[in-house]
Amino acid sequence: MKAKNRDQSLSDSRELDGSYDQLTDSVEDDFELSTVCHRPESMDKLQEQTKFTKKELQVLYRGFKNECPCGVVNEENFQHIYSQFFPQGDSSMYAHFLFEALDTNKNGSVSFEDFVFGLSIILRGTINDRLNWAFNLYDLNKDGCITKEEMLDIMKSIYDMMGKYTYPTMQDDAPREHVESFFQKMDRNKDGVVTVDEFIESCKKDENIMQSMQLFDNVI
Amino acid sequence: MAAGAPWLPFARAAAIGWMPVASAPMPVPPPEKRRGRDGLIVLNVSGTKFQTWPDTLERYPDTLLGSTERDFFFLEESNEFFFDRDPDIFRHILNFYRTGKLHFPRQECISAYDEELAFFGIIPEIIGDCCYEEYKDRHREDQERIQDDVEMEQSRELVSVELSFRETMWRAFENPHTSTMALVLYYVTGFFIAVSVMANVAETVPCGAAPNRVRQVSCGERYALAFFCLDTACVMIFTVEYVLRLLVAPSRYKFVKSVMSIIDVVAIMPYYIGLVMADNEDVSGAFVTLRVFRVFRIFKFSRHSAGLRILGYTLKSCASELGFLLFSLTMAIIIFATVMFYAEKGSSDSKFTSIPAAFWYTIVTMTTLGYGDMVPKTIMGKIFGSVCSLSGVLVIALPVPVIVSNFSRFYLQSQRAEKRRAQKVSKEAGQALVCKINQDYEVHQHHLLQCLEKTTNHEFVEEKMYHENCREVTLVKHVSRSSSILSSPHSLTSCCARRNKKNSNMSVALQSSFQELSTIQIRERPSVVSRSSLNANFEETVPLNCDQPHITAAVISTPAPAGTKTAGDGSTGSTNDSQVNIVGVSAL
Repeated sequence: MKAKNRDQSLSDSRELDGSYDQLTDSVEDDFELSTVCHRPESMDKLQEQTKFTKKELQVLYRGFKNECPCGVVNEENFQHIYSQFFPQGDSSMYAHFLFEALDTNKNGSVSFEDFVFGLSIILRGTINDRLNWAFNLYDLNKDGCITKEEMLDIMKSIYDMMGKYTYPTMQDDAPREHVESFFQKMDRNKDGVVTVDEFIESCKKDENIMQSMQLFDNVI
Repeated sequence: MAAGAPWLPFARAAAIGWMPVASAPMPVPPPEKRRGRDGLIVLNVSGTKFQTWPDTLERYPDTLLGSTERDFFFLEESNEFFFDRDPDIFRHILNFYRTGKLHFPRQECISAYDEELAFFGIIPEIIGDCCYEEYKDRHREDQERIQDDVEMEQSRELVSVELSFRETMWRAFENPHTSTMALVLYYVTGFFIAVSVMANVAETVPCGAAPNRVRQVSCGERYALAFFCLDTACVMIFTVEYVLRLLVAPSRYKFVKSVMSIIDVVAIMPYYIGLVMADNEDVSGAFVTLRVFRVFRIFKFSRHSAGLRILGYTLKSCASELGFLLFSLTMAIIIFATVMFYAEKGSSDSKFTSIPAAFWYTIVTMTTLGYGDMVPKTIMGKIFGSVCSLSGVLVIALPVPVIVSNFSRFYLQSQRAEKRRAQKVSKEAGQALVCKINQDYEVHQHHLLQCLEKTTNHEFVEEKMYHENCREVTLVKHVSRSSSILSSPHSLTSCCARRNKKNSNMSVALQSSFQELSTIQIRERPSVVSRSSLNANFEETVPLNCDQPHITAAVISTPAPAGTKTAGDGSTGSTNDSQVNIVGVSAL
């Protein structure tokens, strides 16, 4: 009897403050039941699998854990972190693509291992590795070739990061034109898609790109 | 933000997505600073040892611990930094470096805390939201305590003579404590308000029968002349006061609209209207009614009493609750009056002649007054009557605590809202000064944004420059219609760099390859970017378009650490530039 009364009054009060959803018969709790905590593999293992030294891993992990104490980054968090670097534009789309590229096991969150593997390839990998990673980033459906639509999405996301206030004023077809020139350069056999080999070959021929790739040698 | 600094390497690595699509190579990255010390820093504060990483402390380079100032406290023999300060408060200061939020411990003394903050070079404005209100409240109390002491000494001093006569008068009227004259004015007007109200009251008291009459005569009629003189005197004083206030008011229109002035007017108008209409017997009835308005003079006391003003304000703000009370009472009255009427209909010589007549009974019963002039006689009537009185107690008792609690809530809230408003201003000012980002971080972020600019071949500009440029572009299109420069938006445009007369933080980075044109890049940081508006220079630099093979590129270097100062010749004929939208040329 007592328990029933308590339940009854509980549900009454829940009805009053609106946290009781009569449609789905569920109760929204004010707090999350548990924060999913993820611990990375041991540092030795990570050191074997990536090309970072112990100290570098430590620095990276400290920064990672500071921002995400629960050990994983979900996409929203990720977009928020990345947007701090680009105050003027909208970096959410590009951050989404980055997230997709980092989340190799497609479970919706980037753990420290994913993070470090990605960084290891970009910062410590060979030119081929890096180009492969970039290709993987562009290839949205991971089918081994980049279509014009995929490239257009990527290009739009990059241009979005610039924001509205640019000089000269951003035209609406700027991304499209850029995609056209990109395909002109990369698509050797003119079949409308860029495969990984075409991509790597064309990039290696381009001096500018090669030079830019060397930027990553000293990042950490 | 400093919090984003750990993710900076990732953000830089993420730029790999831009490289293959950019047609120009990326700008040179800023040099890396290799920090020597990688181990923990030991901070010994009066014996309590704290340890942290060096870069935790260096997040805030503007403070003692984050800058080289801490070297002054370094002890060689024990390889630690020694501070002879309070370790309990230091804990909070160190937490600030770790988490970015400064908290205020409630059990600490506010002045001790302030001293520690001042020593370590931390501005109190960055205290986190959770503790900021408490901090400011304590601070204010402390300040008030000091202020009271100071004021007592200073109250003898005269006000500065900078105020004009009009302003002094206004201040004297509004605040009686400013000068003796103001105080005198305050008491005199108060006295006359009281006298006037008393006279109005005393006028109606019966003063004994007049000779040869039976009827009692009121004092007003007996001593009509005396009362008239008194009234005249009072009204003269009030009129003079009102006119004076009107004259010295800083904003006359606002003054006339204010509640107090309306009360003043209403208080003295009856007299004047009475003067005008005194001879006309027909409207003497109306004249008597007007006298009622004289009672409004008592509201003039609200200038003298702050409590009255607050009461008025809270009644105004509790209007909805009062309305609810009235509404529920009305409902109950109508219900019970109807019931009582029909219950008493049967009995003879019942006073409940109609439902409106029963209203009176219901009101008197529900408010537990019970005059007894109307009582139910039938049994049903008595039953319903008792129900009525019981429910009356409930109906009135329920909304009253709501009104009371609303009152206290509004009161506290208005105090808090005012406090927070004042705090917010100083807080924002403090935020702007504090948390200067690590130089290193800023430099790298700037380079990152440069890479993005390169990739998209557009530059960041500030909002207002963007709007100016929009205007310029239309102008440019006008001017150079025949010119081949603006034939298509993506052909080579020579946006001739306007000569900047104002100092600007433009950083110029030339490509390392000499095939590229020099680009003038604009820092997107809040530093002033001024591309001066299109002027006559455009005319002369128009010929300097892409056809000319050699353009001397001028370099404007900035004091910013990111500026790379290089000079070189730029040739425009390169085929790589089919993508380049911007040609920045500065004509020297």
